[in-house]
Amino acid sequence: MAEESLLQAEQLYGVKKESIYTVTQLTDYIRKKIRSDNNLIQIYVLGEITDISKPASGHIYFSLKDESSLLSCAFFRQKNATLTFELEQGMEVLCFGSLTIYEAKSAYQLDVALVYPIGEGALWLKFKQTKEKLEKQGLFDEKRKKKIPAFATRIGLIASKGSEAYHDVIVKLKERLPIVNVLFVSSSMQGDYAAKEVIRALSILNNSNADVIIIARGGGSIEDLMCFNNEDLAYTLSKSKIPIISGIGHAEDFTIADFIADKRATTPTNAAELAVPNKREVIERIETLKHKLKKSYENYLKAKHKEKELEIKEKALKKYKIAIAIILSIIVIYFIIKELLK
Amino acid sequence: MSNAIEERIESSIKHAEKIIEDFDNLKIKEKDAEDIFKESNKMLDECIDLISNDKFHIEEVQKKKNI
Repeated sequence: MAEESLLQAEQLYGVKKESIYTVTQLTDYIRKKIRSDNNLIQIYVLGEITDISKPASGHIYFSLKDESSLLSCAFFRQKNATLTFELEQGMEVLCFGSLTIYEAKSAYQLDVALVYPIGEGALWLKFKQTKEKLEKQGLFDEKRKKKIPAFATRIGLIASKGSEAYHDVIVKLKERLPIVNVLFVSSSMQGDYAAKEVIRALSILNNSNADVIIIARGGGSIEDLMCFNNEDLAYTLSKSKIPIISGIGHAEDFTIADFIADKRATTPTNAAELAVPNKREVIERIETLKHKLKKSYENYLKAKHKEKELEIKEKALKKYKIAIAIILSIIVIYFIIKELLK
Repeated sequence: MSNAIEERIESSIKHAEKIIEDFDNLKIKEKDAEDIFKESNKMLDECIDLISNDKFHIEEVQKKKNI
């Protein structure tokens, strides 16, 4: 700012020029204040991402918000290069960085160094990392999957007793193949102990004579289904001697257990459908075969009858030929004798 | 992996299919034909009976270690 303007301000309003800040001076002052305050450097800030933009420069700009405040954030290219997940609008995150001043707007902002996902974002990241790890180990390979028996009659069922999933599986099994024997092991299907309980249930059923095991649980949020992304459970599932059908959540829900299971059903009801054949269809198949067998037997009898008729005709023809031959012989002999007697 | 019922049904079906083939190719002796037909038919009827008798059962094995 020109010296002239400062002098004029002093003359007109009586404010000493030493007491007047220029915008840059004030901004510099605030920046220095911030830099010297340990409470504002290398700090963690929790919030929800909003107003995110990812320009071609590679920098990521967004704001963190909570119920009443908004904080501008800059996540520069050099720092965001190691980010292992996609930052998205609405994602809850924990940011690590230092407060700085953006001179051009005299606005403070967080210079972000690291971002950690929180809530669903964190669970999603954990899911993604576990999936990649297990996939590399070949646990999802189709060639290691066991075949589901065509006619399972002993069904191992792991579900929460009295749950909708339990009910759906039982109703469908009973409807399709009412000769089924269900070996049911009740287990928590969400929460801290769920993975361990499902592992225990799998171990119990692997010592049974079950033909196939169904793991059934209704739909839920990623938090609810998180136990099915547990690594220990994944290894237990992969070692099961008995084929496993996962019927977890809805068609759009995918868990690690679904990728490892020998068959993934879209719902618990669908798991029951995949586990056992439909009695009516099997009976229909057998009835069709019975009809074919009868038809085939009848055709056989007709063919044999024709064969006999042909045999009789052939015999008659043979006899006829002999008779003709005899008659002809007699005639010939008659004419010979007649000639001799002349 | 297969179980007794699956084996029984599959073997009866395979047996019937073989008999049909033999009847079609007249490979069966006439004196044995009726018995063979009746036997195969009976096997199929037994399969239907086997899956028709409702005996749905739920066994809770929560506490048991080995079944």
